[in-house]
Amino acid sequence: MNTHGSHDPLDAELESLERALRCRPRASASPELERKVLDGIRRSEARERRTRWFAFAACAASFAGLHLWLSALAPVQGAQARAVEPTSRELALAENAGIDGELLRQAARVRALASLPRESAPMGSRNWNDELGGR
Amino acid sequence: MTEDIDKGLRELLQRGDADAWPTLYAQLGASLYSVARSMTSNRTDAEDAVQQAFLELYRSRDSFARAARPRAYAFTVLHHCAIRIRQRSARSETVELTEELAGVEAQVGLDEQDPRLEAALAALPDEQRDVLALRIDGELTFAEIGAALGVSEDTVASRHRRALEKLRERLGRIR
Repeated sequence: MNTHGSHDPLDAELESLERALRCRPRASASPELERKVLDGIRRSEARERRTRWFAFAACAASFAGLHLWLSALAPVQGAQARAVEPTSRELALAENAGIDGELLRQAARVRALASLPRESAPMGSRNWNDELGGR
Repeated sequence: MTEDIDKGLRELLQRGDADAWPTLYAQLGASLYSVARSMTSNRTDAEDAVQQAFLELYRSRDSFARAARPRAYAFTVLHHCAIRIRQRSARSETVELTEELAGVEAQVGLDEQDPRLEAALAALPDEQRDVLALRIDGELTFAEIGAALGVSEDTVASRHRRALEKLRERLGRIR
């Protein structure tokens, strides 16, 4: 039946051809195809799992490495920060108060040593009393 | 009917259990293969297209599960895979060769199809054959085919009619 309600012989023939196509025997997939498809999906699943695991491991290793590096670096940086020489202002203030500037420098060194782990303190300065007593 | 299939597919995908893909293959495999067989020139290419389509559906399973019509989505993916395979195979064989192949397959019982009809289908231009395959083997509506091919519903309808006319003409000539 065409859009005008009349039945064109060509339309009828095309409809019949379409029906014949619908009823024709269809190509059937080999049983092997199902196995190949499902194997492919399983391999893909395994690859995804591996990728996720590697991403997690890489992330964890980076985090651990960063943590170790920072914890190794932090005391040294702290020591270096504390080991700075007294500023000229500090020295001037000390002088006005009648304190020897050299004493201020010594105090800065002691603060630096105190912030270092014992193992990383320089040789000969492990005993702070010796260090201080030497003065 | 197709609404029920879509609902079933969506539930299956959203559940995402281990049996989902074998069940999906059981529901879609045969019709995807049938369409792929019409879209490509031989059995090997059709199997490759179905394999690639399932892999892509697996990789895009979230979009697949969210699709309004998962069944039509699967055929859209299959169509893209079939196009890639056709390009790869540089479908330059002549109609005679396709007819010969169809004849050989029928003789050795690989495809229990009518070689004359299959040869006439193979002789159609790709765009018309794809519409016919999705309409007849995939049982999609013109709107769904339009969405899959990225063309309007009217274009699909006219390609469908032209395909049937050419088929009628060719079969008439063979008779």
